[in-house]
Amino acid sequence: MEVFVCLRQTAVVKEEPKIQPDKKGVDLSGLKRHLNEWDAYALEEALLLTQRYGGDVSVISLGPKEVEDVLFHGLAAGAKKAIHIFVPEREQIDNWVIANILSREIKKYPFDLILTGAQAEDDGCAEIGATLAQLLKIPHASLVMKVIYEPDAKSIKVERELEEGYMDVLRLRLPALLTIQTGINQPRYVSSLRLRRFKKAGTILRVSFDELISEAGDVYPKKEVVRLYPSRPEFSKVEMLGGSPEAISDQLIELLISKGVL
Amino acid sequence: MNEERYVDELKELIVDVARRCRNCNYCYTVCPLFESSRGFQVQGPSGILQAIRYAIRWGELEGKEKEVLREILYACTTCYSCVLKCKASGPGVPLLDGIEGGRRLLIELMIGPMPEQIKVLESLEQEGNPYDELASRRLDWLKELERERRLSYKLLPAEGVEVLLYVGCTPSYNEGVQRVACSVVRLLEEIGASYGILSEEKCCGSPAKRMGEEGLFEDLCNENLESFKECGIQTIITISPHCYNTFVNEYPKAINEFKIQHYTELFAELIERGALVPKSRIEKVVTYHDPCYLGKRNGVYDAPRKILGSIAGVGFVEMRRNRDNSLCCGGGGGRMWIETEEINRLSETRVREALDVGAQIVAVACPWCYIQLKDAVKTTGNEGKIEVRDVAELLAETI
Repeated sequence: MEVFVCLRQTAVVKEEPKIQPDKKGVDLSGLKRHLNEWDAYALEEALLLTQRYGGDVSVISLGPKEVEDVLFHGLAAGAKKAIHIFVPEREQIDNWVIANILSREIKKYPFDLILTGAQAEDDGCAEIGATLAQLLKIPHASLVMKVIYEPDAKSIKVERELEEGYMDVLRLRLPALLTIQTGINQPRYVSSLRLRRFKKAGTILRVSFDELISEAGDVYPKKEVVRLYPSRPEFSKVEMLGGSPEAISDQLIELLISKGVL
Repeated sequence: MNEERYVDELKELIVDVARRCRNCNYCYTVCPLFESSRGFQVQGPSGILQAIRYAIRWGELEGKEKEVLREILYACTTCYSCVLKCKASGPGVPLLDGIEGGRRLLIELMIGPMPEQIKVLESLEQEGNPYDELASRRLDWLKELERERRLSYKLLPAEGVEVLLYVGCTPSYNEGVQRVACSVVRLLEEIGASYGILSEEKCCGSPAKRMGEEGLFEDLCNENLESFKECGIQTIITISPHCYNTFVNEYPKAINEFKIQHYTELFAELIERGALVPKSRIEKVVTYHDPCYLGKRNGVYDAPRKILGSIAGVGFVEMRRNRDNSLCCGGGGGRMWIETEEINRLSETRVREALDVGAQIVAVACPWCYIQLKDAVKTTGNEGKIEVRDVAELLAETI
């Protein structure tokens, strides 16, 4: 079973993100980056499937030089091939364009299955997997929580997570694309020593974004960000009440009366 | 070193240690894991060692039992009691070298660490602390203290500072343990020390080392050594015995250019010289719980007792198990982050032992013991009967 896994490198956001002056994106400069959480589960599922049923895992990512960190992570975890579609600048590329570029590159290789994370931590769009399946004209299932390979029928049986605790069991003809939900497995830990060794000796196949885009022809962004803004209510003032529980409740009652709430 | 060679070397180390073990099982008599668990053979030192030895011999590292093996290896608290027992009554097998070698092997083969520990290692790599806290907030506790009083510390690197107070991760981030860090700072101020605190302190690497993440430990170790050298300091004072042990016993030789002291050693020395005099009285019955990484691992038993003995009014009592026979609190060896089944929770047993000797205060000198025992006082329903205090807190209270 030949499995492709699409990996995305996302920023580790632990503090209130800063919105850029044009209000169309988030300022991610200076932030550390890591493998998108959902993609870590997709990678693990691919490795488990090939361990169980044979075959190899290939990982593919798109972005500037730094995204090679997640590709080396993939190789160190057990993938046999890594492809980097090189984009010189870290810029926001439309997901439609990304899916087109990925499909152009993946098409060059034989594959039975493509796995992506169900969504990305940064934009949360959950659209690359579905778009890629459409472009490759292969069946697709989202939010997958279980995968069983049926080699005789050349199909897979998958369980999808629905709302309210329901599961949806589907059979898909191969080749197919699945977007993987977190919790499907426990992603393995790749140690620093192991990663260091693969960064030193691992091989990544580098592909030019520009060449792929010219091959693809008329691929233009299909949407644009109009505005990005926080939708939380803005508190003008936060006052911390102190003292004993009795003192706090007295102050609170006084405050509520003074504001006309009580 | 390539993967195969590294794995072979680890296997050789484990098999070599295991071969020297005579399975006399005397180590079980002092093992806190064995005492607190169901008492299976693999819940004691030689059993853990033999489990990894036979996993190597029978090829079980690839098999479906590998997760069971992981649980066996990561259950050890690394308290060192087995090593001391084997030295005293047996052939002196370094059992923990084998067990920790096993953890390194599991990490290399991507079987370890325990799932709950993965976030800890990721946080160590990204933020330099195991608590998923922002590196930029590491000194917040100090700013808080500075609002109360003027402090004379310098942010390092800076000129002319002799002593580095290496605060450590738990005293920096844990709200309860921050009180201990504040007490140590108050005491350093009291003696007029020329001391500094790193502006960008990072974990000593102990949690990574205990979980078998050798590469991450090496990275943290190299970064710390570099920043220590840059500071031009002579002495490093630690609050946690885990940092102390890591610097003294696990860092490369380059660390030897600094004098490493646990804060209890420094303050005991000063009290002995008359340079620090506890002034007020504490009229309480106090016992002392020896942290494994200060006592068993490094033989520092007397310094904390000297400090407690110097405080007027303190009625000092020893627990039944003390010094090298002290019971582990259960928080070492990376177990602070995993929920292990304990039939008899070690920290709860320890609180009962303190109550048995009539103690009103159980004094500790380790951030993790502090957290573990404080929790145990609550879970055993003994709030109001006994208090857990750090030695530094008690001493600072008398100044």
